[in-house]
Amino acid sequence: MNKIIIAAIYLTASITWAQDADESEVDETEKVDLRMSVIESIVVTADKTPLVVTSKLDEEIDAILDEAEALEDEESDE
Amino acid sequence: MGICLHYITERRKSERVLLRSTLTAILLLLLPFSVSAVYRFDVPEAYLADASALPAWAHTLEKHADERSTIADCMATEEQCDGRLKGLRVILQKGANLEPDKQLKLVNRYINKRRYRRDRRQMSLSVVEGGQAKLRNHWTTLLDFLYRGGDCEDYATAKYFLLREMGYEADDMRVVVSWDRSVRAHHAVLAIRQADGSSWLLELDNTIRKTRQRGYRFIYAINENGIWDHEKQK
Repeated sequence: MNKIIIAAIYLTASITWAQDADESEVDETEKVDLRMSVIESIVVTADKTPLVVTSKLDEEIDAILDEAEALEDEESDE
Repeated sequence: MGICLHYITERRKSERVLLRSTLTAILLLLLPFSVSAVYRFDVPEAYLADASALPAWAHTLEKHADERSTIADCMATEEQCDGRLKGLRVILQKGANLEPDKQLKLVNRYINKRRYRRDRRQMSLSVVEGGQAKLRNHWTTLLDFLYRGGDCEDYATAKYFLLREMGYEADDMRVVVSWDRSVRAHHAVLAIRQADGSSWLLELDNTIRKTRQRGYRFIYAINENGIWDHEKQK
C-alpha cells in the first residue's frame, strides 16, 4: 500500500514538474516573440550623412581609394 | 563682533552646502553616460534568437549569398566586372595586403564615399501585412548599396559584407542598432570585436571609435549568426 502511495506521489510530482517546464518554455518563446516584434518595429531614422574627405589622410589607403574611384569613373563615363 | 563671526560661519556653511549639492547634481547627470560606455560582444545573456527570426535581415543575407558568385566572378577576371565592381575588386585585392587596422580604415572610407540616399528608406519602409501598412526596417546587400547607395544602416551592413569578403569572421562583427543621443534617433553602426572583448565602431565620419562610445544606448545587434538584445540585460 505504502509503495502505491509513494508511486502516486512521484507520479503527481513528475507530472506537475513536466507541466511547469512546458509552461516556462512557452513563456520563454513568448518573451522572444515579443522582443522580436519590438525589435522589428524599431526603424533606423538617424539622418547622419557620411563625411566627405577632401584632405589626404594615409598615403597607402588614399592610393587604393583613388585607384578604385578612377576605375568607377571610367566605367560611368563609357 | 560675535554677531559678525556668527554671520561669517553661517555663510561658509551655506556655501559648503551649495558646493556639495552642485557636485552631487553633476555626478548624477554624468551617471547615465558612464553606463555601458563601450559595446561589448562578450555578453552571452544578450543572445535572443537566430538571424532567421528577423525576416527582412534573413532575406538580405540570402540575397547577399546569391550575389557572392558575381563578386567571385569579378575577382577571378576583370572582364567580368562591371561598374562599381571594378572599384570593389581593387579594394578587395589591395586591401588584402594591408594590416588589419588599415583594412578597417580602408573599408570605412570606401563605403562612406558612397551616395547617401534618404528617399529610398521612405519607399522601402512601408510593407503591407494583411492589408495593413507597417513600418519595417530595410536592410541592403553590398551590391545593392554600391549601385544605389543608402542610409546609415545600409552603410553599416555594406561594411559588414565587405569585411566578410575580406575574410573577417561573422562572429567578430555585428551591425548594432542604438539610440544616438546626439541626433535623438535610432542609428546603426558596425562593431568589430577586439581580442580583449571590447569593440571598435566604424563611423560615418570616417573615424573608428575605440573607447568613447558614450553617445549611444545600444539596443540590439545582428549578424548572420544571430540577434542580440541589449535592452534585455537591464
